[in-house]
Amino acid sequence: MDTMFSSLVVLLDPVTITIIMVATILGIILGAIPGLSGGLGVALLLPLTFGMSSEVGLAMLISIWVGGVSGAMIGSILLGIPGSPSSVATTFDGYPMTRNGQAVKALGAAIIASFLGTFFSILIAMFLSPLIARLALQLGPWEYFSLGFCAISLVASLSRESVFHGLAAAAIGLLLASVGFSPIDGFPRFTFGSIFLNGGFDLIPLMMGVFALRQIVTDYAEEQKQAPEVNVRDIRGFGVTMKEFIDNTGNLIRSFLIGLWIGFLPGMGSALSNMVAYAQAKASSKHPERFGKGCIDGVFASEISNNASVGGALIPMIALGIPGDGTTAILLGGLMIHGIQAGPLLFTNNPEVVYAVFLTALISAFFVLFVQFFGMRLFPAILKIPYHYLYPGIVVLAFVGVYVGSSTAFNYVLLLGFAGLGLVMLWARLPISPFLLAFILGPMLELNLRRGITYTDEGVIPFFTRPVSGFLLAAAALSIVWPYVWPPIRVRLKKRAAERGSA
Amino acid sequence: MKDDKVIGAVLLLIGIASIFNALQIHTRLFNSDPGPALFPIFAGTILALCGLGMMVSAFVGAGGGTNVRPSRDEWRRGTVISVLFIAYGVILWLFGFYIATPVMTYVLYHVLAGAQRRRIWIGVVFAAAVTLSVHLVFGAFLNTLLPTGLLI
Repeated sequence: MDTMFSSLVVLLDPVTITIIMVATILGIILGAIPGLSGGLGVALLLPLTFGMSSEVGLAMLISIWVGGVSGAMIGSILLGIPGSPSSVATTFDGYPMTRNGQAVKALGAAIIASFLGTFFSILIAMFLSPLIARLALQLGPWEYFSLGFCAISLVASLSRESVFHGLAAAAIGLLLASVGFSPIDGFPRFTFGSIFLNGGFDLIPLMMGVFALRQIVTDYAEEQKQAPEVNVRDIRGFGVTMKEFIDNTGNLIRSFLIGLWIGFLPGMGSALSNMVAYAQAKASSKHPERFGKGCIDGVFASEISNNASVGGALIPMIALGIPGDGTTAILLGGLMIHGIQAGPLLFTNNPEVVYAVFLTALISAFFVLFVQFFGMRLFPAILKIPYHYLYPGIVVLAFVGVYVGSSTAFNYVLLLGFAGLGLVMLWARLPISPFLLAFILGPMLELNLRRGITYTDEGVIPFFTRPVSGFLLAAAALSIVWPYVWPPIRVRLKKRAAERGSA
Repeated sequence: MKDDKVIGAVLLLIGIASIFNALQIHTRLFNSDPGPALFPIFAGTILALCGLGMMVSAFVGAGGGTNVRPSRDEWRRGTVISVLFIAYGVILWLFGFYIATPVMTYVLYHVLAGAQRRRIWIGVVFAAAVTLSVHLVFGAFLNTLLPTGLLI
């Protein structure tokens, strides 16, 4: 307890608290700009921490990360362009809410959910890290593959079109993810001799293409001039009624647990959790037909889960020294640069660092809440910008964004190609969410599929016989056949109930 | 559902082509390792089966939904904006950020604003402001490399 208080005293130093506040705001801005993210901010500002004490340096990096994950929803809700993969599912209902004139309500829901997700996940991480981390060690490649496959099939089966459309979109994502050097042996696949394809397709051009450029092409083709007017005068508090909040209690708790669980699985993270939580929210909803048309439940689910992954991802990083996602990998690098070895011994060797990490995330969560609460009435001002000003700016950001990450002009080709693919998929009614999820998870799925087969002499059998893996694969199979099996069962049940009623 | 028959057939062909392509890979690191061909075959099989499923559903009339057919005017406008995106990519590649961005930002403004709302001087100021803002954020503040032209 004394160590926790001494860490808190360091963090409450005026200079440190100012650094945390500025870093949080910077993270929100980076998260909100399509193509950038809090993760990029962490990478870019890592060298700045060299001259700081380990607690202050880490506080700055953690604040940018927390701000980035929370800020990513601004672009998703107001422009339909996710600031980062962690808020892709927020676009599905957040942007339709904006189109229905409910931008502030969507932002309010997202802000509350973001805060709750970060705050409670950090509290859990703070007190249960060693215990939960031990659980993660029990899982092998079989479970990781099955979890990823289950997530994809769940999202695919819940698409508005048929299961075939959803799974076909996911398969296209998996095929695109297999371009480039294969994991384990580095064999070049589908590269057609091009050195630019050896590393596979970059995620940024894919996201910018299928969301930003595709949106601009369709809006211009359909002669959309401006987003609908948003009335901010009648909004009280966060713009969300208590009834809406209470109605979503189950949804919030379930999505939070999904985010926390996925966040702490190494290699997963918020990019997956928001999709799975969204799919689960839709599957469990009493009104699934409202999803995708501006349903607040979808915004709650996506935003609480991606922020719960913040605390979740810190658990394996702190307790095991294993990064939960790309950003925690950079944070882990930051710890090492400061001479700190993450892992089970960190709690005994450097407890002040452990508490500094958790307390910073908590302080940062409050700053995010504060900044976004006052900003939520200002953010929709972006919607007042006519499209002939807004869209050229977004196009420039998309082209520059795909270049800065890799410094290769080949990414322009990918950006344009993915925009074209997005338009074809729109015409063919192939949903974007399973496609994107499969593309993100593809490398992890392949690595664990091959590892799982290689580790034993039993081939693919352990995928089905290990309890957790088998359960997840059964859930995946059920989610695929359910849309075909359930309607006739429901008709029969209704018929039987009607017969009983008449009798 | 004629569209679903066509889409299903195309997906089936892509799936078969990717399986065929993956089958040409003959590399294995260990005896028990399935090799790098396994995953594309796995993905290609799902794609082919889904394509087949879409075709069968369309033939038996179980397919739902309709594909949006853009009007002639929507096609024209969509083509114009797509050509501008391609032009921006090419000019950016050849001449770099500091020439391509002001030029193409103005052109995009000009086209998107339409004849009634565009003002040349506003477009010029807007293009300069966008270029300067991106330069300040990415080049000056974040110290990242902005696109450099092949010919410059």
